[in-house]
Amino acid sequence: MQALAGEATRQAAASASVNARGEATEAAEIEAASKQGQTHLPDSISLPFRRSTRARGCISVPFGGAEATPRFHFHPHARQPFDGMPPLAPRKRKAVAAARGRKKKERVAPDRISALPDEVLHLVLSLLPVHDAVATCVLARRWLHLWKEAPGLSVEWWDYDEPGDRFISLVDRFFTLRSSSAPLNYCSININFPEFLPEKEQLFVRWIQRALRCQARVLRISLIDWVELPNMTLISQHLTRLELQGISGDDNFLDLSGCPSLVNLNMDTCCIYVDKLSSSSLKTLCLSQCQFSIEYHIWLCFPSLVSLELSYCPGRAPFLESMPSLLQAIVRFDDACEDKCQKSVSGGCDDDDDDYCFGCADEVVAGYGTNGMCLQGLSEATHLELSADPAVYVFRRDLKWCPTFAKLKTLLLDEWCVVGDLSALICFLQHSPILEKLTIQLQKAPTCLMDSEGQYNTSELPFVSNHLKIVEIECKEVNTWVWKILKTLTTYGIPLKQINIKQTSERNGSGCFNFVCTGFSYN
Amino acid sequence: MAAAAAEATTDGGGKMIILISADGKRFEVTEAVASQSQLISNMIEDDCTENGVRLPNVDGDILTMVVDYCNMHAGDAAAAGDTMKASSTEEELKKFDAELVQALENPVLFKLILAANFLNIKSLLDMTCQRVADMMSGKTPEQMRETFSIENDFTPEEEAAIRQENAWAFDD
Repeated sequence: MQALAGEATRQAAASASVNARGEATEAAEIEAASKQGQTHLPDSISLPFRRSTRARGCISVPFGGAEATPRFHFHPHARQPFDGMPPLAPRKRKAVAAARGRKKKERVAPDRISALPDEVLHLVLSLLPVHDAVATCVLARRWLHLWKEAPGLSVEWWDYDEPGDRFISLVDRFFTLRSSSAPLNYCSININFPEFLPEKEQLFVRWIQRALRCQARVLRISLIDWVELPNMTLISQHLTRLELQGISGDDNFLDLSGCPSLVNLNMDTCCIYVDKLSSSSLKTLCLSQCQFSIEYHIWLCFPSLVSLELSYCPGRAPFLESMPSLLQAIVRFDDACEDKCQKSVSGGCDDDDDDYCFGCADEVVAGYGTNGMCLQGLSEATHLELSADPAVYVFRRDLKWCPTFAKLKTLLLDEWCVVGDLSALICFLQHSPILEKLTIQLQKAPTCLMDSEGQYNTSELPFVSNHLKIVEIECKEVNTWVWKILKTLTTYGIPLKQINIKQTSERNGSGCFNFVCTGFSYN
Repeated sequence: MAAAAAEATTDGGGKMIILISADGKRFEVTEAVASQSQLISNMIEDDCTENGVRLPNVDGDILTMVVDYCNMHAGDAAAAGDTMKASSTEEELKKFDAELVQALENPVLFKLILAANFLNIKSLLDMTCQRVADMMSGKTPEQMRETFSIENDFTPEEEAAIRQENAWAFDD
């Protein structure tokens, strides 16, 4: 141990003498600042720069401080080649440099990157694709083992050819050779190659399982073509964030009960053919363009959820279980949602055999039960954005059982709320006692379905909250619909000066006008 | 004097903190701005900022960049509850970050990394390290050495042996 310490001192002296010759001063400056001083140490030892996460104590805080006294310890990989190798003597070093045809005088820029602390280089390496990260072992002595401690793994494949055996074995070896004592903070597998052979799908299962064994906290898997991960169940005490793209999840894979620390789930263009998706720990959920079944309503059960985004998921609308902690939710349905009808405003048209309405099939409408599909589950939110294709009846049907949005402060609605008449809008506002801001987006002219004046009982309740400060209507042109909304809102007691119309005109390119109405006549 | 200045408060009631760079430049920032540094945030919690915070290893020009970054991002946390507000500034922030990181070159890049690491500002550290990773990505070891002036201190025999040992990692 003393011998090693002595070696370190000699190295420090050597680097000081470099400074005296006026070379590499800035690098030395950075090095000194970082108090690393280990750039040229033998690879068998390392001086971890352990910065206290809570730097107690005051005022002047130099890097490291007194508590960061370097401690020597043997490298976990001391049994590998070159591990015991002493650093080159300065004379030999010169010889090596000369052999490479590089004279010291020619070196202009000092090596600043190697002077960065280990923890920073680990971070850099974890941001590199795995093959680039591993290849850094040959850069210089300082880099030989760095990749093994990197807290991140990023497997990237962007080629027209299927990933070959070489690539696969590289990833496998990464798992085998990396330091078992360094937890993997995140693992990202991004394979952009279609039509995987089924046996290759086992690869992902293997890699995911190995990543979880490395205590991965963030797992990001991006594939295309809805790859199936057969017989795979996620079990991890450490996983907090899961991001999936292009995966077809079955009951096994999407059973999240094996991940009690999971707080963040993000799924994009995945296939979710399960009856129920649930997690008691999840706080943030984002499902974007995920395919749900067209036969039944999936049940989303996330009692701890704080933030929800459901965007443009084809199939049947999901049933949302109660979410008492919900703060904000964005729910968007486009016309790929199957709960739609061209004939009725709130579903359940009287279809006959000649003109069967798939959107209003009996069992589908029956699925709304006595509480509706989405709105009950969203009733605790303070911020809501609800948009839907005009034909999608999910929200309008739910309004039959409209809950009170007791905490709702900001609300965004689009065309769906003005289909037929404005009673859906009014109903919503009547159930939002402390609403502060309402935004209505009318990008398309609302389609006129069958006339259904007064489909909700809106006359008995007084209108909206006293807290309402601003109503914003975003539209392409100020048409009769906008007038109708203005008239209704003023009838119910919202002063015109609080209504702001934002016109996005297509004719003049970037034309966008904001104006406040001061008066109008409506015929 | 410094204590008095450090105790000064803004109109909004937020306490001000003085940061002092290695070359003695003083920066007055709000607690919200300074708290993005976990290091300073902990010091605020422990009431250790009355006399200003001396940062003897961060130069004034680097600290200027850090303070600019923190000023720009101070709204993040505050606006998190109001997504309407957050979305309006999100693009500006992205633009600011992109311009900042694009302009970064050796040696300022590495000085900024060290400052972000020392001050423990995770988002700035991630962003600057990403820049370094982008500069390394797709390069051969030789090109990496060239880009960052990394001196190869292996003998040719040693390097050959390492390459052979880790042949799986190299496209020959």
